[in-house]
Amino acid sequence: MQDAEGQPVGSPRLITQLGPWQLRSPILAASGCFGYGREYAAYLPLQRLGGIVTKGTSLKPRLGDLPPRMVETPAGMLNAIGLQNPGIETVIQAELPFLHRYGVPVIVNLYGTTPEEYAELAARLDGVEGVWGIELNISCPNVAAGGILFGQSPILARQVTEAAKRATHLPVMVKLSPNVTSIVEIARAVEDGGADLISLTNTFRGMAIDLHRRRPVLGNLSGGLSGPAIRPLALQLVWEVAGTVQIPVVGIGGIVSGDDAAAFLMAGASAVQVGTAQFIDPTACVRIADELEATMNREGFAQIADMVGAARQ
Amino acid sequence: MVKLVGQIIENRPIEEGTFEMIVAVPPTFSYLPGQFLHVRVADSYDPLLRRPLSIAWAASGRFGLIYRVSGRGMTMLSRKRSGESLDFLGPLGQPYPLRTDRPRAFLVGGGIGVPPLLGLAEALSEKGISVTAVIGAQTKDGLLLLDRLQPFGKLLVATDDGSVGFAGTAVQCLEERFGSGGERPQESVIYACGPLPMLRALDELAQRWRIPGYLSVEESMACGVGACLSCVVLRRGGPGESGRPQVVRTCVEGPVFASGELLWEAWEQPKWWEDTEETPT
Repeated sequence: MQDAEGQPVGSPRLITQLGPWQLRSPILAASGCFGYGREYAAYLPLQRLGGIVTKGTSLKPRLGDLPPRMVETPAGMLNAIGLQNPGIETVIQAELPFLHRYGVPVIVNLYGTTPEEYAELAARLDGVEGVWGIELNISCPNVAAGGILFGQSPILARQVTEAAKRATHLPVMVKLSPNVTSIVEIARAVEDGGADLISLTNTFRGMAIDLHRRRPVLGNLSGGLSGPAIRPLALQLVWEVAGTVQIPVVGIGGIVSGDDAAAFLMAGASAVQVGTAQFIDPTACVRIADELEATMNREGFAQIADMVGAARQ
Repeated sequence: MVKLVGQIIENRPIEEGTFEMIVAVPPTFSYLPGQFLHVRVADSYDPLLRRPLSIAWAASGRFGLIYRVSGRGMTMLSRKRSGESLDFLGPLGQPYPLRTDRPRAFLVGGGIGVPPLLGLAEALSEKGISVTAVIGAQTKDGLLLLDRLQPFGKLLVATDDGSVGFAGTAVQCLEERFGSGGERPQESVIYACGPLPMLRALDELAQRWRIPGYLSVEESMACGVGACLSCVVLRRGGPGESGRPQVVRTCVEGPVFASGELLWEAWEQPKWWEDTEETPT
């Protein structure tokens, strides 16, 4: 399939209804793994993505964490980037116009240290061209203030969601942390707070030790685990949350193939985000979409919607 | 900057624990010394990530990678046979600038940092630059590629234990040559690749002798294309940037940085990375 300008847009069978959005594909690029799209534009047709969730963005620029920021682990990696980003104004002026040229849905991932900051960020993006929605990062394991604190308390999670909802007309997706006792409680809280969608999961907190230097490898000491190593853990959490809330769920966690994506859809996710897989294969989002169509053929699904929750019936 | 597949022509040990892989690629493939490839070592997802490997040399339709076999990923790479394919991204990153305004070049390599200097030595000598390779290792068994560098110019060797050549580091060796007055540092450029302490000492030496230096830095890397922000270092801010340090990616803005650019203290002091507003300048 091609669009009006002759650009490839993928199979019509991959068209996905995700809450308020109709997307060309159920495969979105996950926050923190795709920058603001620029780096990967040379490797794949951005317009074939279901959407791009940007790098976590704060009000002011952030330098991020002390290196080393990344260490490989079995079938996974730990990262502690510390939300390095140029700040919301630079993102709006210098980054988002680039993405807008591709017509790909852009969801801006937001990070704040207070509910008011989340509200200010959400309000600032209201009406910005090309922005389809926001994703609230209440789950970053690598920053001291804000972030995960909000994701670990149902009351705070709800407050942050409400604050953002009041501040913007844009659909609000809330990204949950797996580093909690009951993710279902948090999911209910953000749904009650008015979230339009829930995405999960962010990374699992982890650590690696450098035996020779006798200290943790990462500059931040601990980091967030991602990659295929977390896939079964994330899949189970998606199953729980999708069985609890009424709003659409976006599955994230170690997806590297079409079959992996299909598993998250069957568990109840309406779409998925692909993160770490892009570091190995910069074309991952498009390849996985093509593989997913092959999975649909093989397993006898006519459209994406038929797969959603198919394992729950 | 694309994803490519080449065919392995040869993959064999050239020295104890060190392999050379020769890969056939379309004749359009070209690189500049100092650039790297991001190589997939296996089809599986464990080990997960690509490995950044500097290109040692390239000729028409082929290139060479020289790597030390340490760790699971490199062991898997060493088991690839001729005829198999190699999946890689690149060439990536900024190369060494080939300075022709000064007639002499010192190429300083420590341990596994030596391979990219091979293609650099060739490129500089082709431009008529007088090349001296200064190769260091802990012991004589760790010295790499001496025979391959020899044809491009002079060779200085340093070992920490004094088992061969100068007793001390490559940087101390160069310092001594400069100090003895025989090497005309004011006509020279330093190019280097090796471990962080070596680069830091060399940076200090280059600034003290007021010589241009170019240092290839390695940091833990995931994507290789500038998206993940893993492999960052801090660069001193220029006068136009209000002196504030900038976070730069070794995969895109590096791996080669000019002497005087990097804020080495940032590897040790978390305060450099704290909020921009309070970052010391």
